[in-house]
Amino acid sequence: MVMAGDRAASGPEATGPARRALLIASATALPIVLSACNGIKVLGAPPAPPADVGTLRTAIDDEAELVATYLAMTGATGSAGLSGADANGRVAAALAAVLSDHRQHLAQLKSRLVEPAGRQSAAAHSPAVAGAGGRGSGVTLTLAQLEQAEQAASDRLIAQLAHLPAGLAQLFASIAASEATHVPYLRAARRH
Amino acid sequence: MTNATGTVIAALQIALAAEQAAGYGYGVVGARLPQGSAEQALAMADWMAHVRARDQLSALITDRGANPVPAAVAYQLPGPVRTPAEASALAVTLEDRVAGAYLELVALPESGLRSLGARQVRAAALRAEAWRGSAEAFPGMPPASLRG
Repeated sequence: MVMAGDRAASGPEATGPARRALLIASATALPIVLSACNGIKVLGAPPAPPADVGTLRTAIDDEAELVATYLAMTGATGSAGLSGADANGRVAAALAAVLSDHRQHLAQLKSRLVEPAGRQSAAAHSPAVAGAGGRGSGVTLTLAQLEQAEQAASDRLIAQLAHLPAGLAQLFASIAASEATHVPYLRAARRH
Repeated sequence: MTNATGTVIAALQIALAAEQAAGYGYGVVGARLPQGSAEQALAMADWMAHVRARDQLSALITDRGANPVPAAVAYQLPGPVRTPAEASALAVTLEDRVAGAYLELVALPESGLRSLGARQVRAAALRAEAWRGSAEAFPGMPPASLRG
C-alpha cells in the first residue's frame, strides 16, 4: 500500500534526475528563446510595400474622394437647385452618370489591392471630399471646378504609369481616359 | 530581334493596324454625314488625327528596324452604314477599337511608349465621347479584364 506521505517522501529522490534535466534544458533553452526575440528585433518592422502599392493606394483615395464629391453634388442638385428645373434635372443626370463611372473605377482599383489584415485604405475610413482646390467634408463644387478636378485626376493617373505592372497600368490609362471624357460631358450638361 | 523588341514591334503594329482601319472607316463616316455639317467637319478632324497617329506609329516601327504593316485595301464594316446615326455609331466603334489597341502599348515597359499609349487611349476616348454623347467607365478595356 502506498500512502500519500510515502509518495511525498520518496518523490524528490525518484524525480530528482528528471527535474535536474528539466532545469538544465530550461537554462539552455532560455538563450534560444531570447535570441529568437532578438532575431525578431533584428528583422525589424515589415518592409515597406512596393512603390506601385503606394501608387495604387493613392489612386484609390483620390477616386474615393471623387465619389464623395459627386455624392455631395448629387445631393445638392436635388435640393439647392442650379438654375431652373430642366437644367437641374439635366445636370443631376450627368452627375449621376459620372458618379456611376467613379464608383466602378473605385471598385476596380480596390480589387487590385491586396491589403494585409488590419490595414484599410484611408478612403475606407476617411470620406474626405476633394475638389479642385483641396479637402473638406461635404463640399459641393461648381461644374467648372468638377471639370478641373476630372482633368487633374486624369493627368495624375497618366503621370503615375511608369512603374506600374502592365495590367495595372492599362487600368490606370483607361480610367484616366474615362475621367478626361467627363470634362466635355459635364461641360455639355452645363451649357445646354 | 529579341523577344522584348518583338513584343514592342507587335504592339506598335497592332496600334498601326487600328489606326489604318480607323482612317478607312472615317472615310465611310464622312460620306454618310450631311455635306458641310458640323458632324462632317468633326469626322474630317478625327480622320486627320488618325492619319497623324498612323504616320507616327509607322516612324516608330521603322526606327526599330521593322516594316510597318501595310493597310488593307478595304475593311469589313461592323454593320451597315447608311444613315448619319449609323455613321456616328461606326465612329464610336472605330474609336473604341483604337483605344483598345493603344492599351497594348500601355502594357509595354518602355515608359515613352507607355505614355504615348495612354495619351492616345485618352484621345480616342474623347473622340468617342464626342460621337456618343456620353462617357464610358473603361475605354478600351475588354470586359473580361475587369474584375467582379
